[in-house]
Amino acid sequence: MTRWLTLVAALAALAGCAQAHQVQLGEVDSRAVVEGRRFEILVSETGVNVQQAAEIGGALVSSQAGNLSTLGDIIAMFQMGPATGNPVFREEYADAVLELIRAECPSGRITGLTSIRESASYPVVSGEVIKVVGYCVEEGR
Amino acid sequence: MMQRLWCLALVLALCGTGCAHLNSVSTTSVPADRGTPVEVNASRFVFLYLNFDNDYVNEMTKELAAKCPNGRVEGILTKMEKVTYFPLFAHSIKVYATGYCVAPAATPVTVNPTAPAPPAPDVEDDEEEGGLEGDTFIEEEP
Repeated sequence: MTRWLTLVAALAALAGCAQAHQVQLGEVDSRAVVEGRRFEILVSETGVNVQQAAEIGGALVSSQAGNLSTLGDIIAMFQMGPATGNPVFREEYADAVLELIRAECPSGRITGLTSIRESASYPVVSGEVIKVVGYCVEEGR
Repeated sequence: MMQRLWCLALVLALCGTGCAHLNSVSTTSVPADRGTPVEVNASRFVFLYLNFDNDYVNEMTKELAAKCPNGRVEGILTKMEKVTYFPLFAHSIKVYATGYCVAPAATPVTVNPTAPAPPAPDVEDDEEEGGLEGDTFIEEEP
């Protein structure tokens, strides 16, 4: 049983679990969805699970376990409000989405935008991902 | 003995129904014509928290389009929830999208992506000149 659990945990750790936080669908022009070109945009930033890092650090250096736990608690006090995923050091990464959509569809005729906020979780770190899928009607159509 | 049976029944009932958590809700502008509602949903069963992608939501747009051929789906309410059937072992992620199928606009408006943002409209000037000009153009259907 323990072997199976270890195997499952190892698989999960290697592959990285994808956790969806939010999904939003935009308005859909059915004809444009059929005729248009599908595009997908991904932007991401590295998130850090401070609590997990403190736990692992504590396990490695048992004499400092108390200090690392306190450090984790202090950092947690500075995280406020509802949050999705792990904290990131630079939140401006999401601002690039608009420019990337413009670059993907120069004609500006976009429909069926689906925005997904998800995390790819690994031990201690995670990829905090914003995925946008849409349909672009090219010029001349 | 009776008390144990009641406890067992309660536990089984809780396990059978599952706890639902609402993750996110969003909506787009609701149209005046709400005569034809359309609904699609997508879900995934997750065992032991092992979920390697969220691609199951990608087809929802196409499904909405298929339910409203030659029209537009507006006023889309998207709801995402997670259901725990049994803690740690069995979960489900469900996404619902409901909207209204409306007739397509006669002349779709296209915004020039390279043009600078239009200035804030002055109400008095607009009345005299007949509205905004320049940055937004209407593209006729071929």
